[in-house]
Amino acid sequence: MDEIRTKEIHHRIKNNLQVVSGMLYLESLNFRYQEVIDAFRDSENRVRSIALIHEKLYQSKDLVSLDLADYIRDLTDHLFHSYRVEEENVKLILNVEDVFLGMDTAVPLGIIINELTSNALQHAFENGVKGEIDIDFFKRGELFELTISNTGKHFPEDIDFKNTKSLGLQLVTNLVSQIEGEVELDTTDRTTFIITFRDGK
Amino acid sequence: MKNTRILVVEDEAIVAMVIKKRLIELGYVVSGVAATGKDAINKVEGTFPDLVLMDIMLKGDMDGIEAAEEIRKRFSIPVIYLTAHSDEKTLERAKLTEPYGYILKPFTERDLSSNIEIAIHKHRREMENDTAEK
Repeated sequence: MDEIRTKEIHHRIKNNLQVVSGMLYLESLNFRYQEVIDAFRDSENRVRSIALIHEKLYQSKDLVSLDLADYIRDLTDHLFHSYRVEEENVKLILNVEDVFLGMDTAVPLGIIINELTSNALQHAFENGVKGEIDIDFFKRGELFELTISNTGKHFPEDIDFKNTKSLGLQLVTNLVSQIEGEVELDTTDRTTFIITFRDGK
Repeated sequence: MKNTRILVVEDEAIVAMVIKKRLIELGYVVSGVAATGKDAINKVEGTFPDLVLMDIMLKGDMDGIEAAEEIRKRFSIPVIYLTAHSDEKTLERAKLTEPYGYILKPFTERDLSSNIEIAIHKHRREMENDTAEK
């Protein structure tokens, strides 16, 4: 397929996803219960995390590989706004190596980052708790390693993150297995999720 | 500012609805929604909004930048671009039309209100200076 058409398709997919997220927002306006409003907002953000991939792809040079650092910056910026967290209270430290990922990995990885960052913003830093969120991404030989950690309220000890009712964590576990990776949780010091996977390209 | 009347120019109807609802939540009045550049110019002429929020990519043969240029020439109404496009060429073309603001999608309510307030304020000052000079 020629370049212009590929670009056009990404553009349209992005627009369509933007419409989906718009409809979720409009529907959310009909509810008063915070739990319901939050559920709509989470859903909106999930759709948006995919829309952003298409947006970044049609802006990319080769139209197939995503500049992950650039993507994570925009994604997290949006999440801070969405959950109304001030960067003065929660510092975001990004340490992302220049890597380019294909769509098959980028979409699940985008949702994983979306979920873990949203979880931290909603639970670890609720009620104005201060601290920092670190997102690191490195390639070590054949392996990619994504680490998302935060210094906020500790991850509850009675929750097994691989077996929980939280949809966000279920998405993380299932998407990690989709990219044939592994996920670990380390709560010794801060709350740290470590995800490793192989380059699918 | 309360009662600021805003014309929304956006060709994706549902995105236009979202923008409209957000503006209303912020306390603004939406004077109309236009889907094309020509429609925008007609609605500016017919309803005299205080401000125009303009999407750059529009269906039809006139894009948002061309429509804004026409509005700038014929009416004294501030235009703010609301767009997902941040490539340099578009930005350069947009700059030439002397917009009062440039909001990138996805935007927050805060982006909207701060850009609108600054635009209205700046425009009012310019009008006052114009009158003072005359």
